[in-house]
Parts: sequence; structure tokens; C-alpha cells
Amino acid sequence: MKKVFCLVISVTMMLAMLTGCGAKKDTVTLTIWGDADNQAILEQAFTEINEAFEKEHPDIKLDYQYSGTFDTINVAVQSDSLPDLFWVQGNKSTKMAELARNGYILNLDSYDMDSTRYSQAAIDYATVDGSVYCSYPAFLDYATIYYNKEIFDALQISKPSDFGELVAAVETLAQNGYTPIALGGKGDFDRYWLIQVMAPALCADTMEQISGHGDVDFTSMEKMFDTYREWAEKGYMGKDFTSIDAVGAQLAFTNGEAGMIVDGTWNNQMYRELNFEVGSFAFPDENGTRYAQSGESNYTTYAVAAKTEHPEEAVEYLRFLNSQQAEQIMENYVGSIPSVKDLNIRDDSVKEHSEFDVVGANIYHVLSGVADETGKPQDVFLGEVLPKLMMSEITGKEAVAMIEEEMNKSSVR
Amino acid sequence: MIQRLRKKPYVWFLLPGFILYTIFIIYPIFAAGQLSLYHWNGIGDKVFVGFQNYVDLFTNKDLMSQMMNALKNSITIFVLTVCIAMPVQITMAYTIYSKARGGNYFQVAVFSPQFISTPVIVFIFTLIFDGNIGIVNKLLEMAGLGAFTRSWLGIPQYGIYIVWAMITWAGIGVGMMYFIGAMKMIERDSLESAYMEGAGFWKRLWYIILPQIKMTILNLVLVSYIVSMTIFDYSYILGGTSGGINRNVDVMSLFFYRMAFGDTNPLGGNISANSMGMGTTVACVLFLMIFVIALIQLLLVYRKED
Repeated sequence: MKKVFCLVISVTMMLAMLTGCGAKKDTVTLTIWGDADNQAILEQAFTEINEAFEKEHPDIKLDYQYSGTFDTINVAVQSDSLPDLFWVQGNKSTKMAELARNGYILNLDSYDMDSTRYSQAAIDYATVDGSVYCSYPAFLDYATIYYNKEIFDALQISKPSDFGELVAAVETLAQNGYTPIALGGKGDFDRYWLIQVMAPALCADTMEQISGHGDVDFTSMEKMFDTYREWAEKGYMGKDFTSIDAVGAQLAFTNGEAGMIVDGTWNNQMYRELNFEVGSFAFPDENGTRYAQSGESNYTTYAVAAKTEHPEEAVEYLRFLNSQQAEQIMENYVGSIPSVKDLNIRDDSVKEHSEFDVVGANIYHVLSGVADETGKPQDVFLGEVLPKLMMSEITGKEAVAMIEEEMNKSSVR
Repeated sequence: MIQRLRKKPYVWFLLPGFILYTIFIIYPIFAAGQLSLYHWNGIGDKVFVGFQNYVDLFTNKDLMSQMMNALKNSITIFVLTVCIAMPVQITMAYTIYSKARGGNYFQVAVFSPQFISTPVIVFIFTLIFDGNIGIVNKLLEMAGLGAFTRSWLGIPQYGIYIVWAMITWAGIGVGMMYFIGAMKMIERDSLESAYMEGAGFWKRLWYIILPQIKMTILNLVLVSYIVSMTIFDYSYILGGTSGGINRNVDVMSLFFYRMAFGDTNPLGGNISANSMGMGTTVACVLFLMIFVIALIQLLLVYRKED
């Protein structure tokens, strides 16, 4: 009996050991901070992306939180409490470069991220000092003009093919009691979008000269500022547009009070779901060339904290974000303009966003490019020039003088 | 040492509070003071620059102009509060103190906005004054005055007055409660004799009540000053980090926030290399502005009590 008992115990222990040898690896949980400001746009897409990732990697669990804002990331950096992964803006700001140079984010060079599907602009976006620090962006975003097709049809206005036709459309809308272009003038960026779409079409030469750090002829920029001021004075952006924000402008457009609105392609989904037909067009110049503005989308660009305990698993998540599968999910929900060639564009509205001839410069980035600690023309442009123009406190000539004065303070120039 | 402490047992009771106060109040003040001597943006190495941040703050034309504008707006809130809100608070407190009919209901109604958070208060004002959905514009349209509809909350020229109106609506009951408390400590005899002498409702307020609550008034003037210098949320919600068009709703605390945290935006751009250094410099200047006035007020109070 004693022998039988010993045998049973021995067999049980052996089986337990064998079971232990074949046990699954410990599950790793990655904490990820998503883009809190764009949660409404991204939530469905990331829910599906994360489910697909966890299905493919059963040993990795994701704790995905919409906690990533500029402030929370700053505080986490200062308190050394960054999550395993968090969203970054790549080379759109100097932030990722600072985090990389100070050792807060993981250098991905040794992880062999596959860049073959991406454009040089996308690779540059993810690169700091020759090393890769985040997943590659797969989409483009730019500010465009959405228009109410029903109002355009009723007034027999055709989709403007050059700047002259756009001005004529604006005047026709105003004469018929519509707000031609709804714009929120209250917030820094609300009032900025119109100038962002105008700049590549109306003052590309000035921006090129600024970027070239040489002598600058501000004539075309001055003319553009005068147009902006004139449109504001004539009420083309709506009654009291200086006192409403972007949401107020969107409300004016969705209520059918405005014929057009300047907004980002990132809001495509919202306009697609309206109860009237909405079209869009890239801002045309006098010759009919249509301009988008440079800008990689940061929806799928994430960096790994250098101090993460699970670098392999975190990089695996980045690889998944850069997979065709994850990017297609993003496209299906968000409807962005893909900058990679193997994605199926979701619908005609996205195809319409792809109808531009030139990717022009982004005026804010051009001015940021010649800024330093003492001269910040981009801040003067946003905080001083645009409000004063729309309140008719300065002319185009005075506006360029303010920008030039600030540029001259900067050592970068 | 222990012997001495045994002779002064109250020290043991003070000690926990003193330790907590030191950790959470005194230390952060000194830490901010120390940070203001560095060139730093929260990432990377700190570079000691002495008082250069203070020199920059007071000599840089743009920074100085922003600070003066924010200070002007903060002072506007303070002056309006003292000159308009405070007399109204005293009058309301006196009405309740005099046991006017419905006083208790009035007291609760006026104090109740204190229980509402700032975003909700702004939302309530939006429902009333918004250009698209506000009830004021709807009433104007119904009255055939559609031409006068405006987006009232965003009119740049009225920005700081709108901020003040919201602060006052939300906080008027608090000051009123202080005044009621002070009035309840006044001997009823003096009021009754004045009444017997023929002093009316307003004369009793002017000659009997006000002289006896002047220390409370002085204290609330100081509290109003501190609030106007530290208020942040209304301006941030209405005008964003930049403080509205032409910085029309900018206030001192928002100026500090913009210096310390406000250099990031949806388009990226350059991150200030000295955001923390300059931010803490503004915070220290703000602290001194409040501290000096508070000190003067305390001296006045103690001299009066002596």
C-alpha cells in the first residue's frame, strides 16, 4: 500500500512538472497612451486594431488609455513615469527629437522596423539624427474646403476650379444670404485653417524664400493677408465670426447657413454622416493648380519609452501598427488619405480628398523653421497677426512687417 | 530638547500640521524659486542662469506686454469685484440679516452656484448667451430684433467683463455668507438704540453695521485680490491657452500656464527651450505680488487689533 501511495505521488509530481514545462509564457501587459484629443475619431479604429493585435499575440495584453495629451506626456517625462508606449508627433514638432536626444524614448534601429512601404517624408517623420524613434505614418492630413452640394446646386455654382471661380462662388453665396465660408475666429487654430489653405496657393514663393533662409520678397504674402482681411470685413466668414469657435462654425455649416467651411481631412467622417451631400476641394490658385499642405498624420505614430520593461513586446505593437492590416482598419473607420499604396481607399469622399496637384508648404511649419528662443514668427503670426487682421486693426503690409521683424530676431535666419 | 518640549506640549499638536505645511506649501515655493534660476524646459539638463529669467521677463518687449495685459485684466476683475460685487454682497447680507421675508430661500439660492463646477457654469452661460443655441438670441428673434443677435460670450471687447460676470455669479454667495456671519456678531443693542433714535434701514447699515464689519470687508478685499490674481479656469475655457483674441481674457495665472506649458499645439512647431524656467519665474513674480499685498493687509489688521 505504501509503495502504491509513493508511486501515485511520484507520477503526480512528474505530471505536474511536465505540465509546468509546457505552460504558456507569462502574459505581458503594455500600457499605451492614445491621443486623448482625437478619441472620438480614433476610438473605433483602435478598439479593432487592439483586438486584432491581442488575437495575434495572445501573450501580450494591452491597457490602451486615451490619456495622451501634451500636458500629461510632459508631466510623465518630468516625473519619469512614461507608459510603455505613447503617441508622438514625429518631426511635426521638436518634442520627439528632444525626448530622443535626452534618452526618454527607445532607439528602434536595432529592431529593424520595415520602412519599405513608406515614402521618404514618412521615414523623415519618424527619424531623429538618423535613427528611427516611432512607427511610420501611413496617412496624410491637410486642411481643405468642404462645400454643401445642395446649396451649390441651388445657386448653380460649380465646384471652383481656380481662385477666380472660388472668389465668384464666395460672392454669389454672400449675395444670396449664405455665409460663404464658415470659420471660427475665436481660437488660435480655428482662425488659422483658412490661411493654411490659402498660403500654398497664394504665397508659395514667399514661403519658399523663407525656408531657403535668404532674402524674402513678401509681396504675395502681403496680398494674401489683405485678401484675408477683406473677406473678414465683408462678412464672408459669417456674422460675428470673431466670437465663435470651430464648433460654432461647424454648426453654421451643418445647419445649412454656410455654403463652405474650412476644416481638416481628419474630420471627413463627420461631414460624411451629415443629412445633406457634402463635397470637398483643395484650394486652387489662379491657374487652377490645387494645393494640399504637407502634413503626415500622427494617428498611428507611437514611440516606446526607453525605460519600458517590455521593449520587445512594445516594438511588436509598433510593427503591428505599421502592418497593412492595422492601417486598413484605420482607413476603414477614419477615412484618411493613405500615403502608402497598398490600402483600399474607403469611399469617394476620400478619393475627392486625394484630388490635389501639389503638396504645398505648411505656413506654420515654414515660420517655425526659422524660429529660435528669441524670435518666434509662428507665435506672432498666430497670436498677433491673424487676430489683428480679422479685426481690421492692421493691413497686409503691417502684418508682414510684424512677421519680418520677429524673423529678424531669430538667429536661425 | 525633550525637556523643553515637555514644557511646551502644544508643540506636539502643531508638529503634524507644520510638517505637512512644510512639505506641501513651503517646499514647492522654494523649489519653484530655485527652478526660476535655471534655463530648462522639463527635458534634459538644467542650465544655471542666475536671475537672467527675471531680466528677460522684465526687458523682453513681448513678454512684458503680455504680462502687463494679463495684470491689467486681473486688476480689472479685482476692481470690479470690490466696487460692484462687494457692495451688492453687503446689501444682500444685510437684507437677510434684517430677516426680510424669504431671506432663507434667497440665501440658499444665491449661495447654490458655489456647488457647480466651472465648466458647468460656462455651459450654463453658453445655453443663455451662445450665438447659435443661446436663449437670449432666441428671445431677440422672437421679439423681431434678430438684427441685434450676437455671439455674446465671444465678443472680444467684452471678454474680461464676461469672465468677471461668471466669477461673480458663481461666487457672490460666498462673500455674502461672510458678511452675514460678521453682522451676526454685532451687538443687537446698538442697532435697537439706533432704531429708537429714528435711524432708518439704510442709515443703520451705513452708521452701525459697516463700521463694525470693516475688518471683514478688509479681509474680503484681500481674498478678492488673491482670487483675481489666481483665477484661471474661466479664461482658459473661454479663450484657450492664448487668452482669447488679442488676449482679451488673459489673466496672470493663464499667463503663467502659457509660459510653463503652452508652447505645444496641434501643429507641433518649436517647443520652448526654457518653458519651465520662465514659467516658474512668472510664478515667483505672481507669488511676490500676492505675498506683499497680503503682508500689508496683515500689518493693517494687527495694528488695528493692537
